[in-house]
Order: sequence, then C-alpha cells, then structure tokens
Amino acid sequence: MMDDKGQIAVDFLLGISLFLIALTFTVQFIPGMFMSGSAGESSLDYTAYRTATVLVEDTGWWGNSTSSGTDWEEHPGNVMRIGLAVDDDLSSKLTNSPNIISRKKTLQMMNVDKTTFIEMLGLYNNVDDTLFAYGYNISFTQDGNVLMLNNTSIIRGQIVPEYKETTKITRIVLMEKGTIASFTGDDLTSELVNTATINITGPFVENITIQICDLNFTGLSPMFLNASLDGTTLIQPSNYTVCKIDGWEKSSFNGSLSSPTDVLSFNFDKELFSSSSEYRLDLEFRNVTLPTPGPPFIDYNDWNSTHYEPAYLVVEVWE
Amino acid sequence: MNDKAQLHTLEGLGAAVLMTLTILTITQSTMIVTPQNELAIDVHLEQISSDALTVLDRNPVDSDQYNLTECIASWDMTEASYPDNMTGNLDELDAGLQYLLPDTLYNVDLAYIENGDLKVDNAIIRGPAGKNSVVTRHFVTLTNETVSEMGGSWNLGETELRVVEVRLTAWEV
Repeated sequence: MMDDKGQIAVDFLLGISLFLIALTFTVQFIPGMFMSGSAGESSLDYTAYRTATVLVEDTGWWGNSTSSGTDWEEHPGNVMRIGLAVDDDLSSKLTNSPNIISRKKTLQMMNVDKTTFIEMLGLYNNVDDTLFAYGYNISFTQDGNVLMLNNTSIIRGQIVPEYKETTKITRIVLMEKGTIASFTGDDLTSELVNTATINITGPFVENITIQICDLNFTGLSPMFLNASLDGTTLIQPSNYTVCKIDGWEKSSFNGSLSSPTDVLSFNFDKELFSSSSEYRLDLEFRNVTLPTPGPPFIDYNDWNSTHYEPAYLVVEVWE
Repeated sequence: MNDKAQLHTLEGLGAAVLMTLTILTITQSTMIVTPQNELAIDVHLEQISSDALTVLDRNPVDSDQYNLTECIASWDMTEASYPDNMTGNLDELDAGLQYLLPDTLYNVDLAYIENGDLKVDNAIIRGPAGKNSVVTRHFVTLTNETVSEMGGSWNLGETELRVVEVRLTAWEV
C-alpha cells in the first residue's frame, strides 16, 4: 500500500502558485504601492535617526572566535558595533542605562578609522552594489559649544555644507565627565580661620569638581577669597573656575555670597594633581564659619562620584 | 483513525527548536524601529521630549538637581491653572524641562489610580497645546518615604506604592 501521510494536494499547490505569481506580478508592476514616504524624500531621515539611536541607546559590541562583550572600547580591533551607552553587564547586549554616555567609549569612538566608522553606523547608500558614503557630522555639544573630553573636541565628520539639504537629529544625553564631590558647610574641615581644607590624591583623567552648599555666615558680606594648593595661590581661570549653580542653570560668580543656600561649583584643572601623591587644597572665605576642626582633613577621594552633565548629541547627515 | 498530515515527533521537535531559536534571536538582538518620512518632524520632537524625561529621571540622586521621581513626590496636589499659576510648586521640574527643551512649550499631566479611579491632574500648564503637539510618557513610582522626604501631599500609606504616569505634551513655538 502506498504511504499517503503528509502529502500536499495538487489542487492546493496549483492554487497557491497562481496566487503567488499574481501577487509578485502586482508588486512588480505597480511601483510605489508598498513604499512608505513621499516622493522627493530620501532615506536620510532614517539614517540620521538610526545613527543617533544606536549611539545613545546601544552599548556597542565586540567579538572574536572565542569571546565577546559590550566593552568594545577595550577591543577596538574586533569591534562589531559602535554604541556609547554605559553598561554594567558586559555579557548582555542590552543596557539599563540608555542616554547615559560613557566617557571611555566616546573617546574610543574618536579613534575608530573612517571606513570602519562609516560601515559600523551604516552611513552609506547602496546603489546597484556600489557604496556611496553619506556626508555626516556627529558631535556632542554643551551650552552651544562642542564638548571637550581629555582635551579632545568630540566631533566627527565633515563641515556641514551650506547649500545642501541635510537631516539633523538631536538627542539629550547625560555625559560622564570626571568626578564630583558635594560638601555642605558642616562637612568641610578647617585648621585656619575662614579656610576650608580638603585633601586630594591625584592623578585624575578629567578635571575635578567640588560643590559646596549650606555655608554658615557670620558677618556682613561673606565672600569667597581664593584657593591655594599646597600653599601656592591658584589663578582663575587657568587653574580653576568657579560658578554658582541654580537648579539646572550655571551663573557667573564674583566672590560674594548672598544666601546660605547658594551652591558653589569649583572646577579644578586635572594637571594640578598630576602625581599620585596627596595634595592639600585650601579654600579661603571671609565671614564664614567652618565648625568641623581638622586635621584630619576631609578627603575628596572618599566623597567623589562620577559626574554626569546634560549634553546634546547632534547627528547631521547629507548626500 | 485518520493519521494523514500529522506532525511526527521528530518534526515537532525540529519545529519547536526553530521557534525557540527565532524568539531567542529576536529578544537578544537590538531592535530599532525607524519612523516613516512624513513623521520625521513629529518624531524628532517626540524623541527629544522622551529624552528629556529619561535624562531627568536618570539624574543621580545625590546631584544638585532633583530627579523626576523626587520632583513628582514633592507635588502639593494643587492643580495648575493658566495663566496665573502655571507651574504650581513644581518649579524644579519646570526649570529642568526648560533647560533641556529650549524653544519648546509643554504641559505636564499626572495620571494615577486613586481609590480605584483613574485621575488625571494638570501639573504644569504652559499654554494651550498646539495642533502639532506630541505626547510622551514616563512612569515613576512613589513611596511614602520619598513623598515625606520631599514634603509632598500624596498621602500614601506606609507600605503603599503609587505608580504615576508623567505625561509630557510638547509643541514647538
């Protein structure tokens, strides 16, 4: 007896073939039927959107025949995907922290050669199997200026042409920028009158930030006078800058303190702490009490944490 | 018994493996859904507003700015009105949004379930929403601890958790 299990009926075969032929014919002969988008627009929107999304929300990936992970910045030779989001689990391709940008990955992105960069981010158009690279300009900006990390401007690509149609996507991110320690007036230690002393052990890869709030005023017109490191008075703005922080806005600071809730933000040049020894930083005020006596002095390295600042990623693409 | 066109054990196994592999590949891969061209402008605004909420929420707890959860926890539950009381006591949140979304106007609504009913309150009103406004959402979870720390009036029980949907309606001016 013939085994007739699992057979396809000839009628069905004929039917489905006819249907498929008809469908293929329709799709082939009515152009634009299944195309999204309007005439005249190119795929530049997609490219810009995709590039920005990959950079901000993906951690990147590297791999060779034996191992793989998201820490592609440590294995630039085997990079498979470029992404800048920070990651705590190297083996999983997903991240819990989109929009938080890793400083190391960003710096490594600046070193990736042009061909790999264009290929990894898909910044090209494929016309009849010939690849045409798009023009692109990818940068991180902060307060209207290109962001600097490790004395490098974080910008890649060409100058945006004036007379061409370009597509631009902006994303808001938090950029990892060195370290920060926040102190209140009561935390700060003091040996000399009106002077806060902080111990700092170098070296640092980025400039360091010290924030001070809730200072105790004792007299009229309290002021910040100067900062000195191991007895040498530091100079503004080459050694450090200081500003007042009001919520999200930074405002300039002329030295005089108006309210105890003022938040002062000091930004010290990393070159000041170039050796791996302990430095003594003195911040001299006028009419400010610092109730905690020293030594021992408070230590910056025990209090610091990673400093994130809002920045914009701007991706601009053109033909 | 009619046993024509049945799935045999081995074939079944093969099919199951194929399905499992497909699901694994999809869940493990990074997926990007690119929007259509016509929507590019809306998408840009939607993307950047969604980024603003994410960045506000990601803001580390010990920084000078309050994060989204802390801002919402501090709310005094008084609805905003236009144009006299546009931000209520959510000045911190308003300052953050203004900083992150320049040239954009927005309203913030808070949606939550209270005693089994869905309530939607206007928390920030910056104006009547325009024709091309987009809405983005972000969820925060409030506990009695965060609320009392921030001095808000959410009135939660000791172990109660309240999930609040923060709706940001944004439009360009």
